[in-house]
Amino acid sequence: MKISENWLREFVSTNLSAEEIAEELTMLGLEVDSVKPISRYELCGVVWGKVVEATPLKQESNLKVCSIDLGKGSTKTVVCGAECVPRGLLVAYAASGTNIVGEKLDKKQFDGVVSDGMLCSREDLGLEEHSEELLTIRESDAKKGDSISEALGLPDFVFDLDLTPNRGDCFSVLGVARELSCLEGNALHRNENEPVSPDNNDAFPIEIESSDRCPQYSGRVIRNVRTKAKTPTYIRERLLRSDVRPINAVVDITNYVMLEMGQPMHAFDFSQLTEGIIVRVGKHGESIKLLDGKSIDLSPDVLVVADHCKPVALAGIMGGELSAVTEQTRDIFLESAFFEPTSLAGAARSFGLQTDASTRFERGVDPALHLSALERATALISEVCGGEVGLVCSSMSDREIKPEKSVEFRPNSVNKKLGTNLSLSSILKTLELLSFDVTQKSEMLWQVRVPSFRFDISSEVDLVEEIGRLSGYDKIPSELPKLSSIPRPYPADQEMREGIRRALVWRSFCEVITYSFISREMAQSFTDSGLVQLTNPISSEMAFMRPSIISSLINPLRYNINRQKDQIKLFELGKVFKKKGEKITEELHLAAVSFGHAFRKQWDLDPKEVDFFDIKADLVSVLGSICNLKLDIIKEKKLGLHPGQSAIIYTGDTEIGIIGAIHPEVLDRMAISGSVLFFEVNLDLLRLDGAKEYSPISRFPIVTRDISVVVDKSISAKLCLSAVEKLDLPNLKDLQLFDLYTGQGIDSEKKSFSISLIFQSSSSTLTDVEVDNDMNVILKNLEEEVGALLRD
Amino acid sequence: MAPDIDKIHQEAMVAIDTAASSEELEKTRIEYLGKKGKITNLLKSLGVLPAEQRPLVGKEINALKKDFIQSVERRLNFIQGESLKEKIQAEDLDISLPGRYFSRVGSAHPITLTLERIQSIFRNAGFLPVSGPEIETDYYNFEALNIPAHHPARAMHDTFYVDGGYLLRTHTSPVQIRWMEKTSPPIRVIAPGRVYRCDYDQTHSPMFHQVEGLLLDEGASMSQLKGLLDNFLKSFFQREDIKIRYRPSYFPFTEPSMEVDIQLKSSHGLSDWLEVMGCGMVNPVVLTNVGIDPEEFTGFAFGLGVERLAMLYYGISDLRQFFVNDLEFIGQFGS
Repeated sequence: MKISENWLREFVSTNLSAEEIAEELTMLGLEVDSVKPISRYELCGVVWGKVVEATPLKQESNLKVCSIDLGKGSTKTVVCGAECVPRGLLVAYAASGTNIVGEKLDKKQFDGVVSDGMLCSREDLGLEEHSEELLTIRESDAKKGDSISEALGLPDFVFDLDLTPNRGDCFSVLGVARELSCLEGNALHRNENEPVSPDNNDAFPIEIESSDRCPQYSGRVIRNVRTKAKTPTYIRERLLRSDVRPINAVVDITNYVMLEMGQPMHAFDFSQLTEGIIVRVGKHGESIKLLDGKSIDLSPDVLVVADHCKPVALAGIMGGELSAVTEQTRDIFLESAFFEPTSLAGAARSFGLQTDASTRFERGVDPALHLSALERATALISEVCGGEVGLVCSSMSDREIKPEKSVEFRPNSVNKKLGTNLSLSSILKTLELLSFDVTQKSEMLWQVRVPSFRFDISSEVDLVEEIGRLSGYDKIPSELPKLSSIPRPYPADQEMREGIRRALVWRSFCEVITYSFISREMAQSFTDSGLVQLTNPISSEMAFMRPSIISSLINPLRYNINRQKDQIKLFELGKVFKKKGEKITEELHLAAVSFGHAFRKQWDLDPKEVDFFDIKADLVSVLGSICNLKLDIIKEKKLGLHPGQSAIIYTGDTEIGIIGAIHPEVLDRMAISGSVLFFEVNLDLLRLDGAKEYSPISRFPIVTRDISVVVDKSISAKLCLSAVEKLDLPNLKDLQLFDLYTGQGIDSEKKSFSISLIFQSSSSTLTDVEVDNDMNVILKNLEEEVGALLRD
Repeated sequence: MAPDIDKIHQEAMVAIDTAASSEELEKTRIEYLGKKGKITNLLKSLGVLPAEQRPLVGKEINALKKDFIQSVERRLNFIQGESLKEKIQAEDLDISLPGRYFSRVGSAHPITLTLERIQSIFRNAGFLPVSGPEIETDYYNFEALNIPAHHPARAMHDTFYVDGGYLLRTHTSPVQIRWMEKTSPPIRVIAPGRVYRCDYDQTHSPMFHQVEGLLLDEGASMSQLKGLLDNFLKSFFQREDIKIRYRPSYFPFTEPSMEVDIQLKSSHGLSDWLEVMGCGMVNPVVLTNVGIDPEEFTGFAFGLGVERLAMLYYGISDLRQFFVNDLEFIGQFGS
């Protein structure tokens, strides 16, 4: 909400400067986002002048030579490009030498005519971002030669307040002033006028059907209103300063009263109302066209203001187009009502209609306000537009509006909760400054009556907050909480994640963080079912919760490829989402992707592109070292993966993830050329073991035997090695496959594996005979199980 | 006899000094000291000498032998020293060539690094990191936190919904509720994680990170909250001269509620007040919702935006940078 400083000062007298007011309000909890002067220019040199003559500079020129009467016999000649140079009104004139439009005005020549100064629009004066029209005023509102400052209420500042939803009471100049008046040295002035005495007995029946949602509704008829009257400059200016667009005098006045007092009001074209007002819920099949041109289908969820034929307004949100007050309107019906906050909450948002009125009603408008606001608006309308004022017609629900709330309050709860040392008397004083009415039942139990405008106060802690806020949170001492938590180890899963992250970083991977939502196409590249869909996505690119992390790593990968990176290793740790029946599950996954050079170009290494075995090494070394896991990688085709380079990762019998190359078709669709290797693991399935058990170190020497065996091409390395691993040979400590050979010297249907076998005993030095015996067992089993024969 | 010894001595010394390698030197040694070597023969010939000459000549030959052995040893040392010198010379390197590495070390994401910094500080104050689901129910995200349907505060949370009536959590505060339901006071936890709001422009990302903190204990107070956060902010920014301001605000789940602003000093002078955290005393309504007696226990909670702190800490000015994942950007932060 934006309000003018000068307007605020009408309601509160204070010695504070605009900046100081902003600071105090912020520290009271009414955050002032900005406090800005109305114009960045000094406007004291700009005066009102009257255009006495305007002739085109030459034929077919848009420029006009204007003669400006500045009063007291002073006349200036100005060449002006404005489309319309108004004759009957006074126009803002800036003399040569004035600093506006960001520069000093100089006399200028146009075709021999000297232009002395200029006629100004609001934009020229820095009063508005954009405006074409010249700034004018009625001759009755200002005098020729007067500075424009007085009529426009300048200089002035605008406070932009970012109000929290609990402080509906501050959604007005009065509310902000009331808050400011709680500070020492500031006094509140109310601006209430006497009730306007009716000119006649005009009445209009009001009936409330939904009294729970609208406990009171008042209005009055004003006839023969001059709706064409020009809105007084001060009202117009203040509306503009609050970002409210001036429309016509009647509407402007209702908006003005709303901004001033906080009571949203509405004026109807009386000729469009039939028989009387009924406040009721909408009916199925009914609809209403609103002021903004939108049509809304009504239902019993929606509260409407209707006449006896049709709905005429969405209660507390927006009026209907048909009954809008226009310049053709003669008679009006002025509404001032109290709608319960809950009665329209949600409705405004579900229709996408957040209006100044709905914002206020949703947060709570002072129920004690509606009659005085009606009187204030009546007085202003009579003053500006004339008209004959009718009777105030009201319908008050039998069910009384919530009686003023009363809260039981233990004053010692203040110091307990805040950690302060405030005296009872200062607590009492603060409550009274805030218009709370305190009855002391006993020293330690007070009964506090809450003023009608404070919708947000209903319990003891609400009052504690009020006292904290007013005394200033900065004055609360700072101390450390006493330690009373239980010593616990750092959570293992957290430690695992941090370890994995560091290990991958040391293996050249960069961590990325991507949005959890992706496009359908991306999601379906690797997953065929159980997608979780957003019902209100920002775009189709972000419409599905990712079912895998790899599906959201493609975009950053592609981005960096397009940025000419030739070695890209990325990883991400995050949640993935799947739907199983009605249930949505979340899993914490890790995915790493590798593209381009396996290592940077080196002066003594041949370049190489990453392949399956690079990513396999990354997987095995990271999970192996951090999680102490033995992984089994079993070839199996998976959606989105290269059929020949696709595998499932197991630990024991648990399937924990997949590893492989992305299918060339998928890459093609993503416009990526080259191989992309990745693995993805479900971290929720990994358990960090507790302390590892120590196994003693043998002090006897190691014996190594290297063998090369020839097997059919179809025999996998894993199959071959497991033929050795499964043997019960206590002295066989380790085996490593260190070479794969095909080609010369070997049958084209065969291949050769070279394997290092490492023997060591824990109890003695191994003899050649012992090792030979083991080797015989090994070779025999290799031959039996996988048909492996020693290569000559 | 004597001239013979002298001659052999002279010849031997020349042979030793001209030996160019250890192999040649060994040949020379055998030539003189081998079974049929010249010095060996001299010693053998001693027997044919008259007895009275033997001691004198014997002494001479032994002196020759001793000198010969020492000279060979000296020469060997010299030859070995020369060849080591050569070897060392041949091994001279241009050590300015790049080291043999497979590639640069990677980098963790600045958001992660910031999260870890935040966590480690609170960890030192006894806060246990906990987590909760990102797809939440309306109850945990709103209702239990004293934000009933149609509460105006919901307008501050532009919520994403997913099928089945669930929503993407708009803040990490639901973890408070889940943890309070699961355990009993005293509680000290922090909950880091991703949160989602349906808001996308230059200064808003539809996904961002928060850290929620909760302390629940007998006698927990606002002054303790201030003490904790004062120390946190000073530790996080690693400076004592940071200015901190606590300003009244509003969150349905805390009361009183405060917003924490900081001012940082730089070479350009003091910054504007920057909003970095929201916090407050846990609203008794929230405690009642999870079955904790607000008369017995009080607590405080705080929430901070990780992107905001990371931006201030690293001097990043554009929020959107975090999720573009440009290697040039991420690569700057190390591990």
